[in-house]
Order: sequence, then structure tokens, then C-alpha cells
Amino acid sequence: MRVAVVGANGFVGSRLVEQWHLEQHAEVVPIVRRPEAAASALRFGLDCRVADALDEDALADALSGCDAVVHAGAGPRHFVTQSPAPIVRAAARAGAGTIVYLSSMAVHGWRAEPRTDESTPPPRRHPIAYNRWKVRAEAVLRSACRKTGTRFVILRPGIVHGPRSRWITGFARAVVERRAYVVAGGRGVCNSIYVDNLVHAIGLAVEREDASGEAFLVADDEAVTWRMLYEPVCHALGRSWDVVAELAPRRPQPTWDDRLLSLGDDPAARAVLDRIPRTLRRSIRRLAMPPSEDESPDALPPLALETSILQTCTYRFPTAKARRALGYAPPVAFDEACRRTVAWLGFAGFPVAVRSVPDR
Amino acid sequence: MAVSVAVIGCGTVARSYYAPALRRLIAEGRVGSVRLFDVSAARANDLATGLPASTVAPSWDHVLKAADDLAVVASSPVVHAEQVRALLEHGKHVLCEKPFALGRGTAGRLADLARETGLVCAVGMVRRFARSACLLRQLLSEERPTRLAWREGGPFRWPVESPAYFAPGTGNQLLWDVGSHLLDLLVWWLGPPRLLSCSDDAMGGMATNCLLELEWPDGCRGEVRLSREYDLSSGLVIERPSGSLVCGDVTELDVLMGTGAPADPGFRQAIPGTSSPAGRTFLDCFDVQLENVLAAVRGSAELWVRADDVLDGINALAETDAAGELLESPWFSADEVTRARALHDGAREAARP
Repeated sequence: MRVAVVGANGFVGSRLVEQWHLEQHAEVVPIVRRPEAAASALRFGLDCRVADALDEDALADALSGCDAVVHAGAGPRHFVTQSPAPIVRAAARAGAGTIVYLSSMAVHGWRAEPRTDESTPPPRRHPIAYNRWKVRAEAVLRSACRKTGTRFVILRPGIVHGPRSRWITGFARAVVERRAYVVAGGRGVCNSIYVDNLVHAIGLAVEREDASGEAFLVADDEAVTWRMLYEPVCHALGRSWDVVAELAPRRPQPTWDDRLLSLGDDPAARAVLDRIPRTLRRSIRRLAMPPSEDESPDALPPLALETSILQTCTYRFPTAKARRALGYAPPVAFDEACRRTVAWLGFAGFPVAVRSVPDR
Repeated sequence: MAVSVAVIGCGTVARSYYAPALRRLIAEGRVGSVRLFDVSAARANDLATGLPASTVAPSWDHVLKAADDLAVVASSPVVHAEQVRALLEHGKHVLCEKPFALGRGTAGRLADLARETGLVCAVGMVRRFARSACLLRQLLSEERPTRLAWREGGPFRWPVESPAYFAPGTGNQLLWDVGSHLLDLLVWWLGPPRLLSCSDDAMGGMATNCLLELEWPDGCRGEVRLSREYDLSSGLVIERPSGSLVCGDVTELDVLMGTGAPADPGFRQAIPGTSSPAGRTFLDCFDVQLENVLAAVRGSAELWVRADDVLDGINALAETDAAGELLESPWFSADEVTRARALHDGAREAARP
């Protein structure tokens, strides 16, 4: 089977390309937006194609000869909400009969009610913009697939971690720069999924024809907290958990600075903002930020509402439907995932002092 | 005397670096005319639009027969050697972008040809025109290092026209691209090293990550890590008996001691035939390089980087390229490791002459 991967140079896309190619799971066709983004996939000498996911014609050419498309692309609001439709239409024109769309658990919100599962309609209102975009993107995808008669599967992973993950690199960088923190002791439910486990789920979604039209929550087997995710990173960098500050959760309503910062995601607002001189923009942003008493390099950035909500999540989303209907069984245990991630940190240039993972 | 210049290859290097420098030199009367040539006439025409006193050459033959004094070779690396040879044979002075040639033998023959013809044959090792690179050369000649580590990496953002840029055999390999600068400077500072190991992550294509371990005859060991994928917190750390030296970027940043203080704030390196000393920014280095080459063409100054000067660096690159093992990717499963090794070894075998 020949599978096109849109967003092949991103975190999930690049791992999917390398794993499927090396394990000969499928013939992968990486799709990237710019030629220079092909560097990583081309270490395998693959047939890498260039097309903007918002350009239906270019994409239809790029998808020629492919049987299925995995949409693993990420980007700003307009990309998230608009890309599913041209991808579905291009796939239909190219004869690629299956789409696997990487959505997110976030469509349910991180303060989901107990017993929330795939049968629970995602709320339309979310305090976090990204969650709204993903709800919208799923709706756009369903509609486009209905119109074109394309078979589709939606995967809703939780916090995807592993080599190249922004959760891992962001935290590792913060530890190195002595500005790492967790909210509420990192005791919140993380709903983690190791990237290889997600790639496993994508493989099942491509193959299982009877799963068409369905959405699936996918996560690691283990109940993981944020501290469990982050502590091995801290340990690998030769630091004790004591260097990680503990912040109190924020109140749940977005503040003016959240609203102001989220304006940048709106194309119309962005166009207006871009006309404001940079110095004035900086002043506005400074005014919008809560004042910080500590201006030293170790000062922590203001706690974002999204981080606060994510790290105080109390609900562990179920994966029963994916197990039942797809046969999902995460192949990589959480401890092994942490070991591989820590080993990767050294490869990626982080100052790794300890290559083992501490016993729990 | 105003020098007439031909620019061969009108891609990103010509547009971003040579064009601004040439514009200034034309305004100052030091360059009289610029002839542009590219296999894509559209690209040449595009560059000509923003460059005064420039014309587009209709063919390569036209370039060879024209009466220009100096040809700047900024084309694809795989054609450098052939173009330099033809230009020298047609009596043109040459400034060739790195890599000068993709093998020691070819580079040596070009250097011989330049010597025989008496023409200027400069190589664009632009980092040798950086103040920090010159300062490090002086400091390391005063006290040899015992160990060094050099990392240079970040997501690849150089604007290329198509994925074909990454095809094996194009000369755009990580090692011959950024690696040629690093090895050239190491050889310039410390003499030729012995290669202890070289590994990269090419698995049937072109590597995005690479690791070299080097050793010099006096026992100094060096590790060079390159990446087109990861932000490696780039920089050079050199350990010497009297203390360490650090430089985040030889073209843009100063050399610091382990304490964080500048190693020699008053250091100034004169470059022959130029009004400015060695540069403190990448663009300064480019300007100084071009001025030095123009002065050499006019016969008023010695070249700072001659073809002969880069042969040991090219030799080190060629040895390294031939020795590449698979760089371990520690997040791979056992099955992936086996397959990765087979792909890497298979590609090496296929590439062997």
C-alpha cells in the first residue's frame, strides 16, 4: 500500500515516515510544503513531493498513485481549520480512497465530564482556541468526506510524546535554562501517548476498512501524570526534580492577555496587528502581561491558561473503542518510551548527563 | 582599475551575498560590469533586475569567450571543478564557492592549473575572513588545545528549488556543505587531523546528521557534530592547558574565555588589499573576501585563501566521506536498527567506484 503523509517533516509525520519505511510497513510518500523541508525524509532517498496542503491542485498532483493519506500537518488556525477540505478533495481526485486525520483529545476539552468518550459530542465552546479549531477541523473533514465519498478515520490522541515532541524539547530547554515548572505538582492526568503508539494506531486506521467514519481516542496503556512524563527528562539532564518550580493553577477564565495573545491566531486581527509598528505592539504586549517582580533570567514566564488546564486535568480518557474496533494495543510501554526519549535527547544536542531512566 | 566580473550561478548565494557586495563595489567604481550566467535564464534575469551594470550571458560558451577579468563560481557544487577548469583555461581569474572540488585529486589538479597559468584561483572559505576565526588561529598557535568540540546545527532552511537538491552525488551533502567550513578552519588552525571515526544517518539518501571524531598528531582530540535537523546550541568549545575558549559562531560572535570575558578585545586582523579588517558579521566577511580577491586580480595584494590552501581540508573531507558508518539513532526499535544498517551499508556499497 502506498500512503502519503501530509506534514511529513513534523513531529508525528517524520516518525511515521521513518518507522514505516524502516519496518517496511507501507510505501510512504512524504508530502512537505517547501522543498527544504524534505531534508529529513530524504535521508531515506524517498519519493518526497512538495505541495501546500491548502492548494488542492498541487496536492492532487502530489497524491497521484497513493492509496491513502495521513493528515499529520500542523500549523496556525487557518491551516488547522481549512486544510482538511482541500486534502480530502485532492485525495478523491487522485484516487486515494482513505484519509486518516490526526485530531486531538482536546476536542473534548481537558476538563471533560466523567464518562466522556467518542460518543460524547465535542463541545463547541472551549476556553482554549486550539481545541475549537480541532472541533471545527473534524466537522470540515466529515463534511468533505461525505461529499466526496471518501473513507475516513479520525484519531484523537492525547499528549503525544517522544523524540522530537515539543512537550519534551520545551521542557528540556526550560530545565537547562532554569525556568522549568509544573502546575499543581505535576499530579494532573497527562493522557499521554508515545509517538510510536500513535503510529501503530494510524496503521490500524489505514487498514481497518470497517472503522470508516469513526473517531477514536488513543493513549498509552499506563495512567501517566505530568510529573511522570517530565521527571525522566529532568533526571537525564542531571537535575533533581527540585529545580522544577511548582505553580498554582490559574483561574479558569481567560484573562485579557490570553485574549490579546489569541488575536494573533485570527487572520483578520493578524492583518490589523501587522500594521501596528513593532515597538507599539511590544508595548501593548508588555501592558497585557501580568507584572513580574523577578526580572532575572531564571524568572518564570506567565502561566498560560492552556498549560494550567492541561496540567490540572483529572480525567483519563478511555481507549476501549480503539481497542475493540481497531485492535489498538500500544506496542511501547511508557517506561521504554521514556528510555528512548531520553536517549534521543542526547542525539538532538541536549546536555544529557544520565542515559538511564530512574526507577519508579 | 575597475574589474569586470562574471557570476556563474544565480541562486541564493549569488542573490543573498554576492549581489549586495557587487552593488556596493559597482557604486564605488571598483567593479565595472557584471555578467550573469545560470542554466535557468529566468534566474539570471531576475538577479540582473536588481544589479546595475549587469547583463545576462546567453550561454556558457559566451561566458568563456567574453573578456571578463574574474569569474565567481556560485553554481551547484557538482559542476564547480569543471567550470573552474574551463574558466582558468580561458584565462579568467576565479573565485570558487565551497566546496572547491569534491575530491583531493581534482582539487589538486585545479590548483596546479592555476599555478601554471599564473591566474588567481581563490576559494570562498568565507569564514577565514572572520575576526574570530583569525583570533582563534593566533591563540591556538600560541597554545595548542588538548580537546575541542564543535557543534553546528539547526533545521534546514536554506531555500532550495526542489527535493532534488538532496540527491546523493549533488555535492550538497551536510559534510561538504557546512562541514567543509568547519574542517577547513580546523586544518587552518591546527593542521591536518587523523580521522578516528565518522558516522551519519544516511539510509539510502543524504544524511541530515553527522558525527566526526578527529585526532591531531600532538594528541589533541576533536568532536564535530553537524545537523540539518536539530538545533544543537551551536558553538565551539576548545580546552587548553591554561583554560578553555568558547565561540558560539565564528562569523558573528567573539571568542570568549571560560570566564565569559572576551579573549582579546583589541585583536584586529588586517586582510591584504582591503580597507577593512577581518569581519565581525557574515556579510562583512563576504565583503572583505571579495575585496581581497579583487585586489589580487589587480595584482596589488596576496590572496588570503588560495586553492593550494584548501587541499588538506578537502582531503580530510574526502577521507571522512568515504569512512561513514551509520550514526546510531537510539530511539529506533531493534527491527528498525537492522533495516537502517542494511540501507546505510547498501547505499555505501552502491556508491563505491
